[in-house]
Amino acid sequence: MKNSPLTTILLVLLAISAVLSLVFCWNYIRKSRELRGLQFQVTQINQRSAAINSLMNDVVEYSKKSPNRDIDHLLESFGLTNRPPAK
Amino acid sequence: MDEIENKPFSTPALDSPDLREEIESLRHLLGSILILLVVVSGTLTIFLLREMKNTSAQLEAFRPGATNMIAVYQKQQAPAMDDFINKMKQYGQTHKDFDPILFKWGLKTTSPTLPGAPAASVPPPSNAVPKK
Repeated sequence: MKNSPLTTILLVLLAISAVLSLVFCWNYIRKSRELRGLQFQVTQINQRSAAINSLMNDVVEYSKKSPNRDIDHLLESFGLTNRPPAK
Repeated sequence: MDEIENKPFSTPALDSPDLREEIESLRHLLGSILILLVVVSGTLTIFLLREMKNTSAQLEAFRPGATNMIAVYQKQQAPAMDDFINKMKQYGQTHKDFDPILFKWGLKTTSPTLPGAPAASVPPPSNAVPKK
């Protein structure tokens, strides 16, 4: 049976297109996964930083209500203080 | 009878015009389907190419900042945060009035030893500091 050239050309085009689709899809999945991973880590860091900041605020408030040397010393070691700035 | 046996019904003559017409019709149909498939597949390929380029651009824009941020966090911030949390826990062991804060942030889970401590009823927030 003779194949017409048009059919052959179309089949070749279809094969090329299918292979390219696979390559692009694989790349897309790989890059999306990397991007999502980075975004997840950054979100985690931001959430943890925000939580630590809130915890620090709570500790500073606590030190204002219950002043004692230990907590002041602790806060100072982390660069935090509840004392007003010197004039 | 012999004639019927020699020429079965299921084998039409190869040069019959009806058969040729049918073959031509099938060839046209195959060509049409292939063209349609090439168009659909090409559209999908172009769509995937654009998506891949978009994602790649987003990743290239996001990666340097994120990598730097993660490195700084792992080297400096995380140890400092852990140190702060540990110090708070140690402080809480000797100062029972600090328990409400520890309970609030999920740094202490056992029930308070002091009776009537108000913090025992404070649930830990959903964004409590993640533990390592």
